[in-house]
Amino acid sequence: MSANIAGVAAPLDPMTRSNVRRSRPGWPEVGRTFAVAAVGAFVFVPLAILGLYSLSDQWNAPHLLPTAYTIKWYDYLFHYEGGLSGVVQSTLVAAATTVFTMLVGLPAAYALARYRFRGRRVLEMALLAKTAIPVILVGVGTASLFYIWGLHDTFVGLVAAHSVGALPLQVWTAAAAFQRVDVSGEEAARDLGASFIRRFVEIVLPGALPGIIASAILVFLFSMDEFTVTFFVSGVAYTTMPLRLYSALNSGYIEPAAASAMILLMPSVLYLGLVLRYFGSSELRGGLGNLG
Amino acid sequence: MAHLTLQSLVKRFGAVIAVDRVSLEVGSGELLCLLGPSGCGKTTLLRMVAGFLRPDEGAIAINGAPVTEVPPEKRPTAMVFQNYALWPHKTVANTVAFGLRVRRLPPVRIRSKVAEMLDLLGLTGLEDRYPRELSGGQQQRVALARALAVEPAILLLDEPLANLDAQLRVHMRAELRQLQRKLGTTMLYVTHDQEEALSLSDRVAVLQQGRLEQVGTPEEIYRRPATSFVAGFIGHSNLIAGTVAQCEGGRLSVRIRGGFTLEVGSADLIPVGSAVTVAIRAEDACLARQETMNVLPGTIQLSAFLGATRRLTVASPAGLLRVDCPADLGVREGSAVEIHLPIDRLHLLPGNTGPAPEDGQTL
Repeated sequence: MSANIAGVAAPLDPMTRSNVRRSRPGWPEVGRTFAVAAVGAFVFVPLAILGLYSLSDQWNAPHLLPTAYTIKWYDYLFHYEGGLSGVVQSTLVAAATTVFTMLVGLPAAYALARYRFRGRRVLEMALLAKTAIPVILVGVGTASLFYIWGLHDTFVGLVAAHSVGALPLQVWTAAAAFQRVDVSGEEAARDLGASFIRRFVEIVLPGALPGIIASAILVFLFSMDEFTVTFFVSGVAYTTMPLRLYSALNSGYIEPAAASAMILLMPSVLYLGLVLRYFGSSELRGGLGNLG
Repeated sequence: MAHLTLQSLVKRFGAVIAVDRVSLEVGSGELLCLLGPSGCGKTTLLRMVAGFLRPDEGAIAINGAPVTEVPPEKRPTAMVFQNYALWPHKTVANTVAFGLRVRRLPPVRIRSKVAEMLDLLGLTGLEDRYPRELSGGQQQRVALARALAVEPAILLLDEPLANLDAQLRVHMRAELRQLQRKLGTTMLYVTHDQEEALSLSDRVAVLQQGRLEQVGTPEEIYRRPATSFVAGFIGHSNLIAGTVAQCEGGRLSVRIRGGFTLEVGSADLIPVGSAVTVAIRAEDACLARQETMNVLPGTIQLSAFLGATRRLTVASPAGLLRVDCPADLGVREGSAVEIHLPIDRLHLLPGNTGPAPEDGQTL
C-alpha cells in the first residue's frame, strides 16, 4: 500500500510544485507591478489631463471631460502676430545649437575617448563643473555678459547659451560612443596605410554612429526644453516655446500652455521611439560614468 | 621578402623597462617566434616594429632602411591582431579589399586580388558575410587575408591562435606554416605557447623581463638552452644548483646538495668554486639499473600516467626531480628508487640563481 502511494506521488510531485509557484507570485513581482503602475500614473495621468486641456474649448466642473473641443490653441501657437511662431523659433535655435555643438563637441569627445593629453583633466573638470553649478547662476552670469557683448535677445546669443548648456551632455554621450569602437580596429586600418581621415570616416564613424546620433538628438531636445538660461538671455524678439508656455500660464491661460507642452513633448516621444526601435537603451545610458 | 633588423631597442613604461636592449635579425623569408611568458615584452616589441609604439632607444630597419621614425601607416608591415580587429560593419570582401583601396589600386586588380586571397585562405563563398556571421577560425583567416592582401614586407602576428580552441589551433598552426612556406613572407610571430613556437618557427627568440635570453632554431633552444630560464621555460627541465668541485679534460665535477657529485661533460674550463646549474630534461633522466656514476637516491612522491609515458616526481637530495619512464613500468608511490642522470644528457648553465629545484616545480 505504502509503495503504491509513493509510486503515484513521485511523478506528480514536480508538477504540483510548479503549479504552486505559478499561482503565488513572489513579493518582488507585486512590487514591480506596483512600481510600473505608479510610474504610469505619475507620468501619464498629468499628460492626459494636459492633452485634454490643450484641446478643450469648454471644461467646467462638474464635467469629467471637456464639453467642447477645439484646435484653436495650437493654431494660436503656430500663428504669432509678433513674427516667427514659438515653434519655428525653438526649432531654429535647437537646430543651430545641435550643429554648433556637434562641430565643437565631436573632436573633444574623440580626444577624450582615445588620447591621454595635457589638459585632459581640465577639460573633464570643465564639463563636469557645468553640470554642478546651479543653472540659475549660469543664467544670471550669461545675461550680464550678453548685455555687455550686445548678444542679449539675439539668435546668436540664444544658440551660444544653449550650446554651452548642451555641450557636456553631447561630449559625454559621444565620447562613450567612440570608446565603444574597438581601438585595435582603428589600428588595423592604420597598419594597412589608412590616413586619419580615412580611419575616422570608414572605421570609427560607422561604429560610433548610433551614439553620435543619440547625442545630437539629446542636444536638440535639451535646446527645445531649455528654460532657465533662455529666460535670462531672451526678451521680445526671440522667445522660445518654454518661455511662451510660461507666459501663457502666468496670464492664466492654461489651454495654450497645455498646447505648448504637448508640442514640446513631440520630439521627446519621437526620440524615445527611435531609441527603442534602433539603438537599444545602452546608447542613452552611454554618457554616464564609464569614462575617466 | 625582406629582412628586419632590431638594434638594441629599449622601451620604458614609467619605471618599468618593458624591452631592454633587444637586438635581433630576422632573415628574408624567415619565420621567427618571439616566445616568452606574459609580460615579457614580446607584444611591446612587436608593436614597436609595427610602429604603434616608439622605442625610447635603438633603431628598427627593414631591408636596411631605417623605419624608426616612420608612422605605422607608412611602414611596409602588416599585423594580425590577437582579437583579429575585424570591422563589424564591413563584409569579408570589403575587409580584405580595404588595404588595396587605400593603395588606390584599380578596381579590377582589387577584385582579382581579393578573390586570390579568399581562395588562398579557403574563404571563397563567404565574401558577403559580416564578422559576426563567421566562426572564430574563419575570422582568423579573414584577418590573415586582410594583412596578406597588401603583400607586406614583414607580417607581424600577435598571438594569432590564442583565441581558438585547442584542436583548431593545432590545425591552423600547420596551415600557417604551409602558407608561410608558399608565400615566403618574412614573419615575426608572438606567442607564449612553446609548442606553437617550436613547431612553427625557423628560429625562436626567448624573451624574459624584456631581455633576449636566447635566439636559435627550435632544436637549439630545446637541446642546448643558454640560460636556466630557457631550460626551465621550454619543456620540463630539472635544474640542480651546485658548485664546481673539479675541472679537468672536458669533464666537470659539480658538488650538489646532500654531498653528492654530478659528472658533467663541458668543453669550457670553468674555475673551481664557480656557481653553476645542472639541467636535465625529464625525458632524459631515468631509473638506474647498473650505473654507478651520476646516480641519486630518492623516493617516488607522485607517479602520473601521461599516456605515452609515466612522469615520476622523485624527492632526492637535489630536490624534487621529474623523471619520465615507460608508461607500463610498475612503480609505487612511496617506494625508494635510484635515479640515473646520464652524463651526455646533463647540460651545464652558468650561475645558480635560477629556480631552486624544490621551488614551484610541478608536473
